[in-house]
Amino acid sequence: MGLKGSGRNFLLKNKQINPYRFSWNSTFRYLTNPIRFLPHFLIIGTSKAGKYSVLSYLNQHNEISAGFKDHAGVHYFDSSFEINSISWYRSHFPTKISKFKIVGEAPGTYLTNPSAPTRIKKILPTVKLINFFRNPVNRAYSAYNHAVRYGWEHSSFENAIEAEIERINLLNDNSDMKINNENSVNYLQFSYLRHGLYAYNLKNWFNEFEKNQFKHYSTEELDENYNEIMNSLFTFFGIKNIELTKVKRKNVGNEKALHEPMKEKTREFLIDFYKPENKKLFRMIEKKFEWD
Amino acid sequence: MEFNKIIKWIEYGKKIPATKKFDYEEKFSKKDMLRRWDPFEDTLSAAIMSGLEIIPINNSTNILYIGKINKERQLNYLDLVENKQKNFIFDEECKNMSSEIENFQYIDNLEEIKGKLFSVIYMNGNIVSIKNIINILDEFLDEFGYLIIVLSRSSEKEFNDSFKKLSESLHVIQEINIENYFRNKSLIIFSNKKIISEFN
Repeated sequence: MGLKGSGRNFLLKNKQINPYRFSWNSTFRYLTNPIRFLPHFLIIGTSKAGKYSVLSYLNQHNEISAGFKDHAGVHYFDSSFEINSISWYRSHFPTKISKFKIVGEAPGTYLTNPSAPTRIKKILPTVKLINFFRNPVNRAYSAYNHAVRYGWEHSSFENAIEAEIERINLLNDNSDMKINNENSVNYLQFSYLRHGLYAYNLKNWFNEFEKNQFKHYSTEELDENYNEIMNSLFTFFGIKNIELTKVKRKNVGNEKALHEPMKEKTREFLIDFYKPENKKLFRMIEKKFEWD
Repeated sequence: MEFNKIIKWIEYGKKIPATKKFDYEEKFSKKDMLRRWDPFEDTLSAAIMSGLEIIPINNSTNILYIGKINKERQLNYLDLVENKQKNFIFDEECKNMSSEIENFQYIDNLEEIKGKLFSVIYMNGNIVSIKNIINILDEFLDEFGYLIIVLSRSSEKEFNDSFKKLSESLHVIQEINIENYFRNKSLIIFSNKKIISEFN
Protein backbone atom coordinates (compact mmCIF):
# COMPACT_ATOMS: atom_id res chain seq x y z
CA MET A 1 0.00 0.00 0.00
CA GLY A 2 1.38 3.40 -1.00
CA LEU A 3 1.60 6.57 1.05
CA LYS A 4 -1.71 7.83 -0.33
CA GLY A 5 -3.48 4.58 0.57
CA SER A 6 -2.00 4.54 4.06
CA GLY A 7 -3.08 8.16 4.60
CA ARG A 8 -6.59 7.35 3.43
CA ASN A 9 -6.84 4.37 5.78
CA PHE A 10 -5.54 6.44 8.69
CA LEU A 11 -8.17 9.15 8.09
CA LEU A 12 -10.95 6.60 7.72
CA LYS A 13 -9.97 4.94 10.99
CA ASN A 14 -9.56 8.24 12.87
CA LYS A 15 -12.71 10.09 11.96
CA GLN A 16 -12.31 12.71 14.67
CA ILE A 17 -9.22 14.22 13.01
CA ASN A 18 -10.30 13.60 9.43
CA PRO A 19 -10.47 17.10 7.87
CA TYR A 20 -13.35 16.03 5.64
CA ARG A 21 -15.46 15.02 8.63
CA PHE A 22 -14.09 17.39 11.25
CA SER A 23 -16.59 19.39 13.26
CA TRP A 24 -15.88 21.69 16.23
CA ASN A 25 -19.21 20.77 17.75
CA SER A 26 -18.70 17.00 17.65
CA THR A 27 -15.07 17.32 18.80
CA PHE A 28 -16.17 19.46 21.76
CA ARG A 29 -18.89 16.97 22.61
CA TYR A 30 -16.46 14.09 22.30
CA LEU A 31 -13.88 15.76 24.55
CA THR A 32 -16.51 16.54 27.18
CA ASN A 33 -18.11 13.10 27.08
CA PRO A 34 -16.97 12.12 30.63
CA ILE A 35 -19.24 14.81 32.10
CA ARG A 36 -22.21 13.89 29.95
CA PHE A 37 -25.18 11.70 30.81
CA LEU A 38 -25.85 8.28 29.43
CA PRO A 39 -29.58 7.94 28.74
CA HIS A 40 -31.99 7.24 31.59
CA PHE A 41 -34.64 6.00 29.18
CA LEU A 42 -34.89 4.60 25.68
CA ILE A 43 -37.98 4.53 23.52
CA ILE A 44 -37.19 1.20 21.91
CA GLY A 45 -40.31 0.67 19.82
CA THR A 46 -41.62 1.10 17.37
CA SER A 47 -40.97 2.86 14.10
CA LYS A 48 -43.93 4.54 12.38
CA ALA A 49 -45.67 4.80 15.74
CA GLY A 50 -45.53 8.49 16.52
CA LYS A 51 -42.20 8.80 18.32
CA TYR A 52 -41.77 12.44 17.29
CA SER A 53 -45.08 13.28 18.95
CA VAL A 54 -43.97 11.46 22.08
CA LEU A 55 -40.73 13.42 22.09
CA SER A 56 -42.63 16.69 21.72
CA TYR A 57 -44.65 15.83 24.81
CA LEU A 58 -41.64 14.69 26.82
CA ASN A 59 -39.68 17.81 25.94
CA GLN A 60 -42.43 20.00 27.39
CA HIS A 61 -41.03 18.98 30.78
CA ASN A 62 -38.12 21.30 31.60
CA GLU A 63 -36.18 18.55 33.35
CA ILE A 64 -36.23 16.21 30.35
CA SER A 65 -34.08 16.16 27.25
CA ALA A 66 -35.59 13.62 24.85
CA GLY A 67 -34.23 13.02 21.37
CA PHE A 68 -32.18 15.58 19.49
CA LYS A 69 -32.64 18.69 17.42
CA ASP A 70 -32.90 16.95 14.06
CA HIS A 71 -33.23 13.27 14.90
CA ALA A 72 -35.02 11.15 17.43
CA GLY A 73 -32.28 8.69 18.25
CA VAL A 74 -28.59 7.90 17.90
CA HIS A 75 -29.15 4.30 16.69
CA TYR A 76 -26.01 3.31 18.56
CA PHE A 77 -27.23 -0.10 19.72
CA ASP A 78 -28.43 -1.23 16.31
CA SER A 79 -26.49 0.58 13.58
CA SER A 80 -23.14 1.67 14.92
CA PHE A 81 -22.35 -0.36 18.02
CA GLU A 82 -19.40 -2.11 16.41
CA ILE A 83 -17.83 0.95 14.90
CA ASN A 84 -18.36 3.61 17.58
CA SER A 85 -17.33 3.75 21.20
CA ILE A 86 -19.39 4.37 24.30
CA SER A 87 -17.66 7.79 24.54
CA TRP A 88 -19.01 8.61 21.10
CA TYR A 89 -22.49 7.59 22.22
CA ARG A 90 -22.26 9.62 25.42
CA SER A 91 -21.11 12.68 23.49
CA HIS A 92 -24.64 13.04 22.05
CA PHE A 93 -26.29 13.73 25.39
CA PRO A 94 -26.42 16.85 27.60
CA THR A 95 -23.83 17.46 30.31
CA LYS A 96 -24.52 16.66 33.95
CA ILE A 97 -24.29 20.37 34.72
CA SER A 98 -27.15 21.24 32.36
CA LYS A 99 -30.70 21.89 33.62
CA PHE A 100 -31.78 18.36 32.63
CA LYS A 101 -32.24 15.57 35.13
CA ILE A 102 -33.53 12.92 32.74
CA VAL A 103 -32.23 12.30 29.24
CA GLY A 104 -33.19 9.75 26.65
CA GLU A 105 -33.41 8.91 23.02
CA ALA A 106 -36.10 7.45 20.80
CA PRO A 107 -34.70 5.49 17.86
CA GLY A 108 -37.84 3.34 17.87
CA THR A 109 -35.90 0.61 16.10
CA TYR A 110 -34.10 -1.17 18.92
CA LEU A 111 -37.12 -3.36 19.65
CA THR A 112 -36.69 -5.43 16.48
CA ASN A 113 -32.93 -5.75 16.53
CA PRO A 114 -31.95 -9.10 18.08
CA SER A 115 -28.55 -7.83 19.23
CA ALA A 116 -29.83 -4.67 20.93
CA PRO A 117 -31.09 -6.10 24.28
CA THR A 118 -27.77 -7.72 25.25
CA ARG A 119 -25.79 -4.67 24.15
CA ILE A 120 -28.02 -2.33 26.14
CA LYS A 121 -28.02 -4.60 29.18
CA LYS A 122 -24.24 -4.48 29.23
CA ILE A 123 -23.98 -0.70 29.03
CA LEU A 124 -27.25 0.55 30.56
CA PRO A 125 -28.41 -2.21 32.92
CA THR A 126 -30.91 -0.04 34.80
CA VAL A 127 -32.25 1.99 31.87
CA LYS A 128 -36.00 2.52 31.62
CA LEU A 129 -37.47 1.06 28.42
CA ILE A 130 -40.56 2.44 26.75
CA ASN A 131 -42.66 1.07 23.93
CA PHE A 132 -45.30 2.84 21.92
CA PHE A 133 -47.00 0.10 19.93
CA ARG A 134 -49.11 1.03 16.96
CA ASN A 135 -51.76 -1.28 15.54
CA PRO A 136 -49.41 -3.52 13.46
CA VAL A 137 -51.80 -3.51 10.50
CA ASN A 138 -51.64 0.28 10.18
CA ARG A 139 -47.96 0.29 11.07
CA ALA A 140 -47.16 -2.09 8.20
CA TYR A 141 -49.00 0.11 5.70
CA SER A 142 -47.37 3.24 7.05
CA ALA A 143 -43.90 1.65 6.77
CA TYR A 144 -44.69 0.57 3.22
CA ASN A 145 -45.78 4.09 2.25
CA HIS A 146 -42.62 5.46 3.82
CA ALA A 147 -40.54 3.08 1.66
CA VAL A 148 -42.47 4.11 -1.47
CA ARG A 149 -41.91 7.80 -0.69
CA TYR A 150 -38.16 7.23 -0.39
CA GLY A 151 -38.02 5.19 -3.61
CA TRP A 152 -37.07 1.95 -1.83
CA GLU A 153 -40.19 0.10 -2.87
CA HIS A 154 -41.93 -0.19 -6.24
CA SER A 155 -44.23 -3.16 -5.63
CA SER A 156 -47.85 -2.82 -4.60
CA PHE A 157 -48.46 -3.23 -0.87
CA GLU A 158 -49.93 -6.67 -1.49
CA ASN A 159 -46.92 -7.80 -3.56
CA ALA A 160 -44.51 -6.36 -1.00
CA ILE A 161 -46.23 -8.37 1.77
CA GLU A 162 -46.14 -11.52 -0.34
CA ALA A 163 -42.46 -10.96 -1.09
CA GLU A 164 -41.73 -10.67 2.62
CA ILE A 165 -43.71 -13.83 3.39
CA GLU A 166 -41.82 -15.62 0.61
CA ARG A 167 -38.50 -14.47 2.09
CA ILE A 168 -39.56 -15.71 5.52
CA ASN A 169 -40.52 -19.09 4.01
CA LEU A 170 -37.31 -19.32 1.98
CA LEU A 171 -35.22 -18.59 5.04
CA ASN A 172 -37.09 -21.19 7.08
CA ASP A 173 -36.79 -23.86 4.38
CA ASN A 174 -33.32 -23.12 3.01
CA SER A 175 -30.76 -22.29 5.63
CA ASP A 176 -28.10 -22.05 2.92
CA MET A 177 -29.84 -19.00 1.46
CA LYS A 178 -29.44 -17.08 4.69
CA ILE A 179 -26.83 -14.38 4.75
CA ASN A 180 -25.08 -13.87 8.02
CA ASN A 181 -26.05 -10.25 7.69
CA GLU A 182 -26.49 -8.28 10.86
CA ASN A 183 -27.01 -5.11 8.91
CA SER A 184 -29.62 -3.13 10.78
CA VAL A 185 -31.29 -2.20 7.49
CA ASN A 186 -32.80 -5.68 7.48
CA TYR A 187 -34.70 -4.99 10.62
CA LEU A 188 -36.08 -1.71 9.35
CA GLN A 189 -36.59 -1.39 5.66
CA PHE A 190 -37.68 -4.85 4.68
CA SER A 191 -39.80 -5.86 7.63
CA TYR A 192 -43.27 -4.49 7.06
CA LEU A 193 -44.78 -7.58 8.66
CA ARG A 194 -42.03 -8.72 11.01
CA HIS A 195 -41.66 -5.33 12.62
CA GLY A 196 -45.23 -5.72 13.89
CA LEU A 197 -44.58 -9.07 15.59
CA TYR A 198 -44.29 -7.24 18.87
CA ALA A 199 -44.53 -10.24 21.19
CA TYR A 200 -41.81 -12.09 19.30
CA ASN A 201 -39.53 -9.06 19.43
CA LEU A 202 -40.30 -8.22 23.04
CA LYS A 203 -39.42 -11.73 24.22
CA ASN A 204 -35.72 -11.02 23.67
CA TRP A 205 -36.00 -7.98 25.93
CA PHE A 206 -37.87 -9.78 28.68
CA ASN A 207 -35.03 -12.31 28.76
CA GLU A 208 -32.57 -9.53 29.60
CA PHE A 209 -34.46 -6.95 31.66
CA GLU A 210 -36.81 -6.94 34.64
CA LYS A 211 -40.45 -6.31 33.75
CA ASN A 212 -40.54 -3.27 36.03
CA GLN A 213 -38.04 -1.52 33.74
CA PHE A 214 -40.68 -1.31 30.98
CA LYS A 215 -43.69 0.85 30.20
CA HIS A 216 -45.93 -0.03 27.27
CA TYR A 217 -48.49 2.18 25.56
CA SER A 218 -50.34 2.23 22.27
CA THR A 219 -50.01 5.06 19.80
CA GLU A 220 -53.78 5.10 19.41
CA GLU A 221 -54.33 6.02 23.06
CA LEU A 222 -51.73 8.78 22.91
CA ASP A 223 -54.00 11.31 21.14
CA GLU A 224 -56.73 11.02 23.74
CA ASN A 225 -54.78 10.36 26.91
CA TYR A 226 -51.54 12.23 26.30
CA ASN A 227 -51.62 13.96 29.69
CA GLU A 228 -52.22 10.78 31.62
CA ILE A 229 -49.65 8.77 29.62
CA MET A 230 -46.91 11.36 29.82
CA ASN A 231 -47.43 11.98 33.51
CA SER A 232 -47.26 8.25 34.17
CA LEU A 233 -43.88 8.39 32.43
CA PHE A 234 -42.79 11.37 34.53
CA THR A 235 -43.69 9.37 37.65
CA PHE A 236 -41.77 6.41 36.18
CA PHE A 237 -38.74 8.72 35.81
CA GLY A 238 -39.19 10.08 39.35
CA ILE A 239 -39.86 13.69 38.40
CA LYS A 240 -42.85 15.95 39.07
CA ASN A 241 -46.01 15.76 36.98
CA ILE A 242 -47.05 18.71 34.80
CA GLU A 243 -49.99 19.82 32.66
CA LEU A 244 -49.14 19.30 28.97
CA THR A 245 -50.25 21.11 25.84
CA LYS A 246 -51.61 18.92 23.03
CA VAL A 247 -49.33 18.65 20.00
CA LYS A 248 -50.35 17.79 16.48
CA ARG A 249 -49.24 14.28 15.41
CA LYS A 250 -46.20 14.50 13.13
CA ASN A 251 -46.01 13.07 9.59
CA VAL A 252 -49.62 11.92 9.62
CA GLY A 253 -50.92 14.52 7.16
CA ASN A 254 -48.41 13.63 4.45
CA GLU A 255 -49.28 10.00 4.63
CA LYS A 256 -52.99 10.53 4.37
CA ALA A 257 -52.70 12.99 1.51
CA LEU A 258 -50.39 10.88 -0.63
CA HIS A 259 -51.71 7.38 -0.34
CA GLU A 260 -54.83 5.42 -1.02
CA PRO A 261 -56.46 3.72 1.95
CA MET A 262 -55.53 0.07 2.42
CA LYS A 263 -57.70 -2.43 0.54
CA GLU A 264 -60.29 -4.08 2.75
CA LYS A 265 -59.21 -7.61 1.75
CA THR A 266 -55.61 -6.80 2.62
CA ARG A 267 -56.65 -5.37 5.97
CA GLU A 268 -58.62 -8.51 6.76
CA PHE A 269 -55.62 -10.66 5.85
CA LEU A 270 -53.36 -8.64 8.12
CA ILE A 271 -55.82 -8.62 11.01
CA ASP A 272 -55.87 -12.44 10.86
CA PHE A 273 -52.09 -12.54 10.48
CA TYR A 274 -51.52 -10.48 13.60
CA LYS A 275 -54.36 -11.76 15.79
CA PRO A 276 -52.44 -14.57 17.56
CA GLU A 277 -49.34 -12.42 17.94
CA ASN A 278 -51.34 -9.53 19.42
CA LYS A 279 -52.90 -11.92 21.93
CA LYS A 280 -49.42 -13.03 22.99
CA LEU A 281 -48.35 -9.41 23.38
CA PHE A 282 -51.34 -8.52 25.56
CA ARG A 283 -50.57 -11.50 27.81
CA MET A 284 -46.92 -10.51 28.05
CA ILE A 285 -47.52 -6.88 28.93
CA GLU A 286 -50.73 -7.56 30.89
CA LYS A 287 -52.51 -4.86 28.97
CA LYS A 288 -54.91 -4.90 26.00
CA PHE A 289 -55.11 -2.43 23.12
CA GLU A 290 -58.26 -2.02 21.00
CA TRP A 291 -56.78 -3.03 17.65
CA ASP A 292 -59.20 -5.53 16.10
CA MET B 1 -24.32 -25.56 6.10
CA GLU B 2 -25.78 -23.02 8.50
CA PHE B 3 -25.59 -20.00 6.33
CA ASN B 4 -24.20 -19.01 3.02
CA LYS B 5 -20.47 -18.71 2.58
CA ILE B 6 -20.74 -14.99 2.76
CA ILE B 7 -19.33 -13.63 5.92
CA LYS B 8 -18.39 -10.17 7.03
CA TRP B 9 -15.14 -8.75 8.16
CA ILE B 10 -14.06 -5.45 9.60
CA GLU B 11 -12.12 -3.08 7.43
CA TYR B 12 -11.80 0.70 7.53
CA GLY B 13 -14.07 0.73 10.58
CA LYS B 14 -16.88 -0.76 8.51
CA LYS B 15 -17.80 -4.36 7.89
CA ILE B 16 -17.75 -5.40 4.28
CA PRO B 17 -18.57 -8.78 2.76
CA ALA B 18 -16.03 -11.40 1.93
CA THR B 19 -16.38 -14.88 0.46
CA LYS B 20 -14.72 -17.98 1.78
CA LYS B 21 -12.07 -18.99 -0.73
CA PHE B 22 -12.87 -22.24 -2.50
CA ASP B 23 -9.19 -22.72 -3.30
CA TYR B 24 -8.04 -22.22 0.29
CA GLU B 25 -5.52 -24.72 1.47
CA GLU B 26 -4.33 -25.32 5.01
CA LYS B 27 -0.80 -24.26 4.16
CA PHE B 28 -1.92 -20.64 3.75
CA SER B 29 -2.29 -18.34 6.71
CA LYS B 30 -5.74 -17.84 8.24
CA LYS B 31 -6.34 -14.46 6.60
CA ASP B 32 -6.11 -16.10 3.17
CA MET B 33 -9.36 -17.89 3.86
CA LEU B 34 -11.40 -14.85 2.94
CA ARG B 35 -11.71 -13.12 -0.38
CA ARG B 36 -12.66 -9.45 -0.19
CA TRP B 37 -15.95 -8.74 -1.97
CA ASP B 38 -15.92 -5.03 -2.60
CA PRO B 39 -19.42 -3.50 -2.51
CA PHE B 40 -18.22 -0.63 -4.69
CA GLU B 41 -17.25 -3.09 -7.42
CA ASP B 42 -19.96 -5.71 -7.25
CA THR B 43 -23.70 -5.08 -7.24
CA LEU B 44 -24.58 -8.20 -5.24
CA SER B 45 -22.06 -7.29 -2.57
CA ALA B 46 -23.55 -3.77 -2.56
CA ALA B 47 -27.01 -5.31 -2.11
CA ILE B 48 -25.75 -7.29 0.89
CA MET B 49 -24.47 -4.05 2.42
CA SER B 50 -27.84 -2.47 1.71
CA GLY B 51 -29.90 -5.13 3.47
CA LEU B 52 -30.29 -8.12 1.17
CA GLU B 53 -31.87 -10.91 3.19
CA ILE B 54 -31.36 -13.99 1.05
CA ILE B 55 -28.92 -15.06 -1.60
CA PRO B 56 -30.13 -17.73 -3.97
CA ILE B 57 -26.65 -19.03 -4.79
CA ASN B 58 -25.14 -22.13 -3.25
CA ASN B 59 -22.98 -25.05 -4.33
CA SER B 60 -25.69 -26.45 -6.61
CA THR B 61 -26.28 -23.18 -8.46
CA ASN B 62 -25.15 -22.60 -12.02
CA ILE B 63 -25.03 -18.98 -13.11
CA LEU B 64 -25.52 -17.30 -16.45
CA TYR B 65 -23.94 -13.88 -15.96
CA ILE B 66 -24.92 -11.26 -18.50
CA GLY B 67 -22.69 -8.20 -18.31
CA LYS B 68 -19.14 -7.28 -17.40
CA ILE B 69 -17.34 -9.12 -14.64
CA ASN B 70 -13.64 -9.08 -13.79
CA LYS B 71 -11.52 -11.99 -12.65
CA GLU B 72 -11.57 -11.18 -8.93
CA ARG B 73 -15.36 -10.98 -8.92
CA GLN B 74 -15.64 -14.21 -10.90
CA LEU B 75 -13.68 -15.80 -8.07
CA ASN B 76 -16.16 -14.42 -5.52
CA TYR B 77 -18.98 -16.15 -7.41
CA LEU B 78 -17.00 -19.36 -7.68
CA ASP B 79 -16.53 -19.16 -3.90
CA LEU B 80 -20.30 -19.03 -3.55
CA VAL B 81 -20.80 -22.12 -5.72
CA GLU B 82 -17.67 -23.71 -4.20
CA ASN B 83 -16.34 -24.12 -7.74
CA LYS B 84 -18.70 -27.04 -8.22
CA GLN B 85 -20.70 -25.70 -11.17
CA LYS B 86 -19.90 -24.55 -14.67
CA ASN B 87 -20.94 -20.93 -15.16
CA PHE B 88 -21.14 -18.75 -18.23
CA ILE B 89 -20.57 -15.09 -19.01
CA PHE B 90 -22.24 -13.33 -21.89
CA ASP B 91 -21.03 -9.79 -22.51
CA GLU B 92 -22.32 -8.32 -25.75
CA GLU B 93 -19.65 -5.63 -25.76
CA CYS B 94 -16.73 -8.06 -25.48
CA LYS B 95 -16.47 -10.81 -28.03
CA ASN B 96 -13.82 -13.52 -28.31
CA MET B 97 -13.01 -13.26 -24.64
CA SER B 98 -11.56 -16.15 -22.73
CA SER B 99 -11.65 -16.51 -19.00
CA GLU B 100 -8.57 -17.48 -17.03
CA ILE B 101 -10.86 -19.38 -14.72
CA GLU B 102 -11.97 -22.83 -15.74
CA ASN B 103 -15.50 -22.75 -14.37
CA PHE B 104 -16.41 -19.34 -15.74
CA GLN B 105 -16.63 -19.56 -19.50
CA TYR B 106 -17.22 -16.65 -21.86
CA ILE B 107 -19.71 -17.14 -24.68
CA ASP B 108 -20.05 -14.92 -27.76
CA ASN B 109 -23.58 -15.95 -28.51
CA LEU B 110 -26.44 -17.34 -26.47
CA GLU B 111 -26.86 -20.00 -29.17
CA GLU B 112 -23.75 -21.67 -27.71
CA ILE B 113 -25.66 -22.62 -24.57
CA LYS B 114 -28.95 -23.49 -26.23
CA GLY B 115 -30.84 -26.13 -24.26
CA LYS B 116 -29.07 -25.35 -20.96
CA LEU B 117 -31.07 -24.24 -17.94
CA PHE B 118 -29.67 -22.02 -15.17
CA SER B 119 -30.74 -21.71 -11.57
CA VAL B 120 -29.60 -18.06 -11.53
CA ILE B 121 -29.49 -15.57 -14.36
CA TYR B 122 -27.66 -12.45 -13.29
CA MET B 123 -28.24 -9.42 -15.53
CA ASN B 124 -25.79 -6.70 -14.72
CA GLY B 125 -25.38 -4.90 -18.01
CA ASN B 126 -27.18 -2.49 -20.25
CA ILE B 127 -30.73 -3.68 -20.70
CA VAL B 128 -31.64 -3.70 -24.38
CA SER B 129 -35.34 -4.36 -23.95
CA ILE B 130 -37.58 -6.06 -21.46
CA LYS B 131 -38.93 -8.24 -24.27
CA ASN B 132 -35.38 -9.45 -24.88
CA ILE B 133 -34.94 -10.20 -21.17
CA ILE B 134 -38.20 -12.14 -21.01
CA ASN B 135 -37.10 -14.21 -24.05
CA ILE B 136 -33.79 -15.04 -22.33
CA LEU B 137 -35.61 -16.02 -19.15
CA ASP B 138 -38.08 -18.19 -21.07
CA GLU B 139 -35.24 -20.03 -22.73
CA PHE B 140 -32.61 -20.33 -20.01
CA LEU B 141 -34.11 -19.88 -16.53
CA ASP B 142 -34.98 -23.00 -14.58
CA GLU B 143 -38.62 -23.17 -13.47
CA PHE B 144 -37.52 -22.75 -9.84
CA GLY B 145 -34.69 -20.38 -10.74
CA TYR B 146 -33.99 -16.77 -9.84
CA LEU B 147 -33.33 -13.65 -11.83
CA ILE B 148 -30.97 -11.15 -10.25
CA ILE B 149 -31.18 -7.93 -12.19
CA VAL B 150 -29.68 -4.48 -11.78
CA LEU B 151 -31.91 -1.70 -13.07
CA SER B 152 -31.08 1.96 -13.47
CA ARG B 153 -33.34 4.48 -11.80
CA SER B 154 -32.02 7.45 -13.81
CA SER B 155 -35.39 7.53 -15.51
CA GLU B 156 -38.07 6.72 -12.97
CA LYS B 157 -40.57 6.03 -15.77
CA GLU B 158 -38.32 3.49 -17.51
CA PHE B 159 -37.55 1.85 -14.19
CA ASN B 160 -41.24 1.59 -13.31
CA ASP B 161 -42.09 0.15 -16.74
CA SER B 162 -39.32 -2.46 -16.54
CA PHE B 163 -40.18 -3.33 -12.95
CA LYS B 164 -43.87 -3.69 -13.77
CA LYS B 165 -43.29 -5.88 -16.82
CA LEU B 166 -40.88 -8.18 -14.99
CA SER B 167 -43.29 -8.39 -12.03
CA GLU B 168 -45.99 -9.64 -14.39
CA SER B 169 -43.92 -12.70 -15.37
CA LEU B 170 -41.93 -13.28 -12.17
CA HIS B 171 -42.38 -12.93 -8.44
CA VAL B 172 -40.44 -10.22 -6.59
CA ILE B 173 -38.40 -11.58 -3.71
CA GLN B 174 -36.59 -8.40 -2.69
CA GLU B 175 -35.90 -4.99 -4.14
CA ILE B 176 -32.75 -3.30 -2.87
CA ASN B 177 -31.75 0.25 -3.50
CA ILE B 178 -27.96 0.13 -3.92
CA GLU B 179 -27.39 3.81 -4.69
CA ASN B 180 -24.94 4.16 -1.80
CA TYR B 181 -22.57 2.10 -3.94
CA PHE B 182 -23.89 2.38 -7.51
CA ARG B 183 -25.48 5.65 -8.48
CA ASN B 184 -29.21 5.43 -9.26
CA LYS B 185 -29.18 1.64 -9.28
CA SER B 186 -31.46 -0.93 -7.71
CA LEU B 187 -30.93 -4.66 -7.54
CA ILE B 188 -33.99 -6.86 -7.63
CA ILE B 189 -34.27 -10.58 -7.05
CA PHE B 190 -37.17 -12.29 -8.80
CA SER B 191 -38.26 -15.88 -8.45
CA ASN B 192 -39.51 -17.90 -11.40
CA LYS B 193 -41.59 -20.06 -9.08
CA LYS B 194 -45.33 -19.55 -9.44
CA ILE B 195 -46.81 -18.25 -6.21
CA ILE B 196 -50.55 -18.21 -5.63
CA SER B 197 -51.54 -14.78 -4.38
CA GLU B 198 -53.57 -14.42 -1.19
CA PHE B 199 -55.07 -11.23 -2.53
CA ASN B 200 -56.54 -12.24 -5.92
